[in-house]
Amino acid sequence: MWVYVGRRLLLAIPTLLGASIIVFAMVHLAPGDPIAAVMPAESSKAEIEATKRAYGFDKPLPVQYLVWLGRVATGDLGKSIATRRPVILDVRDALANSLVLALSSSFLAFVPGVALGLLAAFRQGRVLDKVASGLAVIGVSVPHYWAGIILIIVFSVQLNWLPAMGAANDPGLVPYLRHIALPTVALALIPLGVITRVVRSAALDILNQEFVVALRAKGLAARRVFTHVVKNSAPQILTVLGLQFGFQLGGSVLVESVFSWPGTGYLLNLAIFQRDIPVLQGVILVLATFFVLLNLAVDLLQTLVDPRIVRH
Amino acid sequence: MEFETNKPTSFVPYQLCYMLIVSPTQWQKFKDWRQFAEQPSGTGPFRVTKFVPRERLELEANKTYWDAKRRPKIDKLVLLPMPEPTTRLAALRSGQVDWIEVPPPDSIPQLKGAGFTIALNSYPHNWTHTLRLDKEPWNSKLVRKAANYAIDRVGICKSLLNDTCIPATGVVYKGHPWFGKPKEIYDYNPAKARELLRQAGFDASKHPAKAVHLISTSGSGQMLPLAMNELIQKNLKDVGIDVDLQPVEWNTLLTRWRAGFRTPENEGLNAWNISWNFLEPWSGFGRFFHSKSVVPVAVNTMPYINPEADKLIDEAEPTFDTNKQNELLARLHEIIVDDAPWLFVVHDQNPRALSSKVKGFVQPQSWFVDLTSVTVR
Repeated sequence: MWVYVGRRLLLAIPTLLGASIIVFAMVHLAPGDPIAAVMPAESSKAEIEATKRAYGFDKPLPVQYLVWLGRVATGDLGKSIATRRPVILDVRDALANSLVLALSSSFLAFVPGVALGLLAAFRQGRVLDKVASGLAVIGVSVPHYWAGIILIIVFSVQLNWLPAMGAANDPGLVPYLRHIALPTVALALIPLGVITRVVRSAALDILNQEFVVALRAKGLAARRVFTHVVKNSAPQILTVLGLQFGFQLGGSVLVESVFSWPGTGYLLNLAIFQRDIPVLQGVILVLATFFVLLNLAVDLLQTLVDPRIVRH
Repeated sequence: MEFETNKPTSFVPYQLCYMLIVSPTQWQKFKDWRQFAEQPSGTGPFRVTKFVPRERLELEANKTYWDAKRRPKIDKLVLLPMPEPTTRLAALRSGQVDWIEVPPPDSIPQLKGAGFTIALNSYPHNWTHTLRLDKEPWNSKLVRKAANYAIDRVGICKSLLNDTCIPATGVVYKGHPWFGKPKEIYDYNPAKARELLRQAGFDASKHPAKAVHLISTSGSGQMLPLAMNELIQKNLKDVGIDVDLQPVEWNTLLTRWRAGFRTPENEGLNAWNISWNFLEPWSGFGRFFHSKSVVPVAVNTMPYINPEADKLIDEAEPTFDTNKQNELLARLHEIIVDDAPWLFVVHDQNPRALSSKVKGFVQPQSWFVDLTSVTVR
């Protein structure tokens, strides 16, 4: 077991390094000059060169990468070109907001998603299965930014119950919940659909196996059969939950932009349009690291529920 | 305070609003630009009370502002960045904010119907295609004029942008002191455009004029670049000018524009679509149309070389009598309109939508707004 854990931890290092190279290269391969966004139109060549030197953009790319990586290793993600603030401060605040949103929307998606999926599998072909599958199809098919706009029109503009944008500025839980409610619902729709479908098919897969027939033939109570089915489909479900949580954290650019929710997605969107390369690199790298760590956690969790994984 | 210039120039008073004067005392206090930016010190009618980068800026009225008549009538002002137009619209309609910049044009009739005020005014902005003058087809004045007669500017403003812009037939708008009396008034006249093209040796079926234009997908002052450019492309196609539109991201466009047309990357291009301001004579004319402003010195990318234009710009600069300066610039404008080095398209009217609670605001002919007269009921 510990050998397996150690091997997975070691494997995470090259993955992270690979992610850092891709992040660094991606931003530099994209067209557009970061300096153009901040310099006035009539800037002289000397002024542009001086600014490039100040940000280190005059050095060859491999050198820029190593310098950047060295700084990243010590927690220094550089300074934002647009605000001159240390990127780590911006990323820290944005990540905290995104984490809260990802956690709340995951909770809203995972609990009903798993429940609906299992219910649909155990009631295959019946009304409940059809309702759950229908809901899942709607969840998967509705673009979340569109759902966000519809939620704003209904609950903010028409009913005037909840704020349309931004995070709460006033202290207290109630203002905070009022602001996070709509983005949470918008962001939960897709994973709700995906999880319902995957859980249903995973559970059905197990239900159709011979050992379940044997369990039933032995006269085992339905509740005990249910436990066996859940336990056997858990690795597959855990993988999907882990992936979906990662998507919630990194894939909320559209929802955060629609609601002006000050998270990593919103920050990424602003940084893209401002060509704020240090911020772009910082946010993507932190999100990529989170994703790698999340996958690692899911892998380790799977070994706990299914010891066969270690043996293979 | 004293300014020294290297030659007599009357443009300085115009440019003063862009000379940002900072407090040396505040700098001495922090000696750090970030802290300086987050805790600014100034002498304006509002004071900063809270600043969260990319999220909000809160200001309160400066009760001791030196000009008692211009002390703000509101106690507090909160500025929230919302890049997404639909989010701005929803925030206004739900009452979360009282004022938004640039409502989506489609929403304007609906906003008016719901009792919101749409503030509009002409101001120094032009939305153009800057043409490459050293290469076919735009090296021919006849073709440039033909293209300007081919564009349905009223259609763009009325049907596409819900009257948030005014048609442009020159660098500045009609009624501006620099407009003058140009010979050419570019109305929508496809028949005249075809005739001019024929005179230039082009023919829609056998020998159409062809050009490649670099445009942006969005960007500051670019309005609705994709929809507007598609309409222009169709207008030009109708008279026999085939324009291939190449959309790129806004900052990419700026980077390529700064390098000028004569680079390997831009060699195949014939124009770029970038919107400009003309706050003062230099930003309106000098940087684009003086032969000394050819890239890389400034941004005469076309390049536009006209000794008569140079002479008028050089004369306007040391002319301190505003009326005389306006006369010189109007003459210069007449020449430029006749030469048509740009496709003149529209002038934005800087639309903003205000809730009915907001009173006392006067939409200025400027980027800068005066919030001291505003009240909120």
